[in-house]
Amino acid sequence: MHLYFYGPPSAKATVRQSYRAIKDALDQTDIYVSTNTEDEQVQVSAELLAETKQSDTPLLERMDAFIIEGTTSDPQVGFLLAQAIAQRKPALYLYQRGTVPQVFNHLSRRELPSYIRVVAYADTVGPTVLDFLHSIEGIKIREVPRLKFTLRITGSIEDYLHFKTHNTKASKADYLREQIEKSMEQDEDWQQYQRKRRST
Amino acid sequence: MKRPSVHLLFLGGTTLDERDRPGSTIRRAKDVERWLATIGEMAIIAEADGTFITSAAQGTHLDDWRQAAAEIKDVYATYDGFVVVHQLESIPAAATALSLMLQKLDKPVVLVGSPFLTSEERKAGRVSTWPSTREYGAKASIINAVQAAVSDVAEVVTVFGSHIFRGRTVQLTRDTDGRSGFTGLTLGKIDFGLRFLGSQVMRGQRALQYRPDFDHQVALIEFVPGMDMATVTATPTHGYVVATESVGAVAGPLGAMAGRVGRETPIVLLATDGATAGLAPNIIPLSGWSRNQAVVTLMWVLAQAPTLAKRKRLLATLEKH
Repeated sequence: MHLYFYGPPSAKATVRQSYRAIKDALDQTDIYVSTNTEDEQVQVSAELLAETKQSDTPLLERMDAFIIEGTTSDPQVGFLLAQAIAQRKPALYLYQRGTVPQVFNHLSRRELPSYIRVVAYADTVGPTVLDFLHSIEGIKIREVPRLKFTLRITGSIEDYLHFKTHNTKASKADYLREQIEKSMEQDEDWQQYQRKRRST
Repeated sequence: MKRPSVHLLFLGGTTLDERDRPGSTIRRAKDVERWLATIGEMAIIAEADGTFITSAAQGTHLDDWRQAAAEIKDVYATYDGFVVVHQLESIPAAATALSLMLQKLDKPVVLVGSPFLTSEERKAGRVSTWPSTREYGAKASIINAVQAAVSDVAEVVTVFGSHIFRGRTVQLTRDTDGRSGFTGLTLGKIDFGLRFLGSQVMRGQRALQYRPDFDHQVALIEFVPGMDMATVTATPTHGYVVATESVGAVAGPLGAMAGRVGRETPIVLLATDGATAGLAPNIIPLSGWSRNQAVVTLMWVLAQAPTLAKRKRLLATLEKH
C-alpha cells in the first residue's frame, strides 16, 4: 500500500509542526509513505519506480490513497484533490481550524464523493490520520495478530520456511503473514473490490 | 486571485470509462454538458467549458483541425488555456497542424485523448492498442491536461502517460507487444505533479499569429524498389512526400520524378539513411521527421509560400524539435 502525503512548502513553524505530526502518525503504520514535506525529492519505493518506468504511468496514479494538508493556498492542492476524485481513491483533506481553504470557494463539500474526507483540525492531527487509515479497508496499523489460524503444512513447506527465516529476526509465522499481505496488495481484483466497497 | 479558465475542444478521444456509460462519451454537441458534469472535478482546477468539433467516428481531418484553430483564435482572449480532447491515433498530425496554424502562442494548447473505445467501436470489432491498465486512466489524463492548460507553458503540447511532449514532435510508436504509445521531445514529466524541464516556451507578451491555410494537394509515396514512379505520379499534385529506407534505392527514380512533376513542385524526401547531395533542386531532404509531420507541414507550406525557393526557406526554419 502506497500513500502520498502533500503539504505546500512553508516556512511557518506551526505548519511544519503539523506536517511532522501527520508524518509521525503515518510512521505508525506499515504503509509506504511518499511525501514532499521532508525532502525536495519525493521518495518512492524502488519497486514502484521500476513499475512506473515500464508502464509510463504517472507515479500519482500508482498511489492508493492521499493525504493533503490544504491550509495554505497552493495550485498543487487543487490538482491533487481533483486527481483523487478522478481516480476514485480515498483522500484525507486536512486544514487548520479557523481557516477557509481556497479550494472550497469553488466546490461545496456536499459535492465531494464519500471517499474524500475533509477535516478541520486544531491541536492534534495524529488521531484524525489514524482514523482515516482505519476507515480504508486493508490498511494495517501494526495491530497485533489476534486471530488463531491453524494450518497443517508439508515437510517441504516447513523446510522452505526454515530456509527463508533462519538467521533472520522474523518467525515463520511473520514470514507467512508478510507474504499474504503482499499478495493482498498485488491482487487487482481484491483492490478493486475494496475500492468499490469504500465508494458505496 | 482570479480563477483560471480553460476551454475544451472535442475531437473524439472523449470516452471516460471502459464501459462507455451514459455521459462518458461526446458524440454530438448536446453531450458536452453532461460530459463536463461527469468529470466535474476539473472545476477544482479551473472554470471549464467546451465546444464540440467532431465525434471523430470517421477519423479526424484537416478541416476539423482548422475549425478547432479558428475556435481558439475567436475566444483566445477569454481563456487562460485550451485543452483539445482528441482521438489518440491522429494526435501527431493534429498537433503539427495546430502548431503551424497557431504561432506565437502565449497560452498553452494541450492535446490529450482517452485510450478507451466507444461502445460502437467495440461492437464493430475494434480492439484498443493503447495501454489502459486502470479504469480511471482517461479521467486522470484529462485532469493532467487541464493542469497543463493553467501552467506557464505557452505552446502546443501533448499529454500522454507520464510525459508532456512538444506537440509537433509527437510520433506514434508500437512496441513489440503491439501496444501503441507516443514519443517526441519531452518538455515535462508527470510524477506527483507536472514538472517542466526548462526547454518549454513560457507565457509572455506575444500576439497570436493565426495562419490557417493549407493546400490539400499533397501525395505521400512509400517508395519500394521496383515501383514505377510514373504511375504513382500520373495524377499531378502540388507537392510530394517520398518516404524510403535508403536514398540509394530511390535516387534514380526520384531524379526522373523531379523532372516529370516540374521544377517548382517540391518533393520532400524522408530517408533513414543515405547521402542527399546531388539531388535535383526541388528535392528537399528532411531527416528525423515523421510522415505525419512532413505531409501536414508541406500542405501548410504550399499555402504560405508561392515559390519553391520560399517554400524551401520556410521548411528550413521550421524546427522539428
